[in-house]
Amino acid sequence: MRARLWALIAVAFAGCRASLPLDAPEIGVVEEPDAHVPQPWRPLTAEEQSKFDLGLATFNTEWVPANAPSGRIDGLGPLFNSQGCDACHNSRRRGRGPRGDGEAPADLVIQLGRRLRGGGIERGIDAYGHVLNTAAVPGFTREASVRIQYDGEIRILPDGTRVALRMPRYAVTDLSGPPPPANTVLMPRMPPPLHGVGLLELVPRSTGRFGWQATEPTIALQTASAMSREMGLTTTLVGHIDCGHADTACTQAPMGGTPEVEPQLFDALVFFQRLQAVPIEPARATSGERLFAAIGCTACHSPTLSIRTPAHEVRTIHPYTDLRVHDLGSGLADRDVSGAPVLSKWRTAPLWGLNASVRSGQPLRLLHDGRARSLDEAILWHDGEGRAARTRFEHLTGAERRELTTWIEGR
Amino acid sequence: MVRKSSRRAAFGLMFALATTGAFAAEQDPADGCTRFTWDVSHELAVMKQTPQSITAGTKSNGADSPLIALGTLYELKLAPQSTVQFAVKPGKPTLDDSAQAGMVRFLAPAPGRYRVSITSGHWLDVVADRALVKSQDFQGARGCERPHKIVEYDLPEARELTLQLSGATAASVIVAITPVKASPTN
Repeated sequence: MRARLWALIAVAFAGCRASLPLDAPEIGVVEEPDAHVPQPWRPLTAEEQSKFDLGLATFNTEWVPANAPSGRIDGLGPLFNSQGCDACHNSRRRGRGPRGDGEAPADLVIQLGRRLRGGGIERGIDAYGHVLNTAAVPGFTREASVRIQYDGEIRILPDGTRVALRMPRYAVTDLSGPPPPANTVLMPRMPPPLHGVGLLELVPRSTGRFGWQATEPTIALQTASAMSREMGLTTTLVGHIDCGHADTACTQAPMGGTPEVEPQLFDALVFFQRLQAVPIEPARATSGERLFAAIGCTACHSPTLSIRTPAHEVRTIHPYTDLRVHDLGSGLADRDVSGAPVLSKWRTAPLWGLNASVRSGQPLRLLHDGRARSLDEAILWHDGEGRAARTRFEHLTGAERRELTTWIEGR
Repeated sequence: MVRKSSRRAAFGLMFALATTGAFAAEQDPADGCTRFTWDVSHELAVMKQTPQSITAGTKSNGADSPLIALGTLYELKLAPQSTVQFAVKPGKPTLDDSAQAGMVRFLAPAPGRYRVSITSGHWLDVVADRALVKSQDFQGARGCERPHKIVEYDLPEARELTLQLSGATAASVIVAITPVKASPTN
C-alpha cells in the first residue's frame, strides 16, 4: 500500500522540469577535509587564486570603527551586529544560532518590517531601519537588546514517538529610540550557509534567489545589504548604513572612507563567494534518497537544477532547492508585535553542504530562526505547502525517518 | 496529536518596550561575564590576576616565543601581522591591514581539554608538530571584556605546543590557558 502511494507521488512530481537539460555533467562539489580551507568549484588561474584568497581573507577579517586605525578595514558601525562576515557565517556554514533561553546570539539578526493593511510586509521601519543593531562602537548606543524564551511543544507521531519542539518568543528591551509602531513585524534570521551560492546565481531565474525569502537577486547585492545593515559598512552598491531616520548620532557618525569597503576588497569578497564549492561526503548506500523523493520532499527541495556556466557550458547541480518561495504555514510565519502571524513565504532552503555543519560537531540550528535542533524538528515544522510531505514523514517508521534524516545530513 | 496551551499566547512575541530614557545605559561589562553558558569560574578567577607583561614571538621556529604557564595571566605585546612568520598558516587567513599577531609556547602536561581565554577578537590557533589542532568549541559573552572569548581544544598528549594569535588590531592582549576540570561541555 505504501509502495503504491510512493509510486503515485513520484509520478505526480515527475512533471517538474527546468528549462535546461538535467542530464548534463555535475559541477560544483569537492571533498573538503578542512572547513578552513575552502576550495573553488573550477580551476583558477594564478591571478584568480590570488583574488579568491583575498576574498577569503576579507570574509574572515574583523572590521574596526572608523579611524581606529584608519585604513582598508575601518568603518564598522557605528551600529552593527557583528564585526565580520565569518563571525556569523561560521566558516561559510550556517550560523551557530541560539543554544537556548537567554540573550540572542549576535548571529541571530532581528530584521524589522511593517505589516501592510492588505497583507504582506514592507521591510524596514523609520525608527530603527531594516535590522535591530544590538552592538555599537565606543561612544554610541546600540539600538536594543534581544532575549529569547522558548515555549515547549510535544509532537506525538503515529508510532508513539514524542518529539519536543520549541517556539521562540522574543523580548526586545533597552531601545535607544522610540517604541516601534504596533504594526512592526519582527523577522528573526539565521545566517544561511554560503556554500555554492555562485552556482545558485547561475540558475536561470529573473527574480530574487538569495536570503531566507529570496529577496536579493545577486550575491553582490546580498553581500552589500548585509554589510550595510549588519556591519554598518558602505560599499560600491549600497552607499548608506542602516540608521533610524531620526538617529542623527548614527547618520552623522564618522565614516571609514567612501565607500568604506574598498572596491577591490568587495569585488574579491563577491568573487570568493561565487567560486567556492560545496563540500561533499563520500556517497553511502542508503534508502534515504528514495524516501526523500517518495514522501514528496523533492517537490520543493529539487535535487537537480541546470545552469549555464560563464564558459557557456550546461551543467547540473544538486542543491535540493527550487529557489522558489513557499508558504509553510503560520507556525513558521513572522509575527507582529501583538503576536499575530503575517503571511510569510520562505525560499526552499538548499540542503547541499549540510554535511559541513554536521561534521563541525556543533549543535545544529535549523530553519530561519534556528529553532529546530534536528532535521526531525525542522521537518515537523513544515506546514502549508509542506504539510503533505511532513504528514508522510510522520507516518514513516522510526528506522525510515532515521534513514532519511541521516541521508539529508550527508548532503 | 499536538499538545497546545493557548496557541496565540505561546506564539506571541513578547515585545517588552522599555522606556528607559532616550538611550539605554551601556551594558555593565562585569554583568556580561555572567552570560557564558559554560562554567567559567576558573577562567574568570585567573582573569582577575595581575598579568605578567611579555612580548609574543614572531619567528616560525619558535626561537623568540616565550613559554607561558597554565593558570597564569599574561599581557602579550604583539607585532604587526605582516612581520610575523607563523609556525603554520593561520586557520583563518585575514587581511594584514593593521592586524597584530604573535606566538607563545605552552606545555600541556596531560591529555585533555584546555581553554584559551583572551581579551580581544584575535583568531587563535594551537599548533602541534607544525599542524593545527582543531578547536572544539568557543564562547563569547557580549559585554564581557575579560575574557572577550574562550576557545576549547582537546590536546592529545603531554607536549609543548604553540599558540598563534592573528587577525585583530589590538596590539596587546591578555591571555590565559587553563585546563578544563569539569565535564567538557559543562
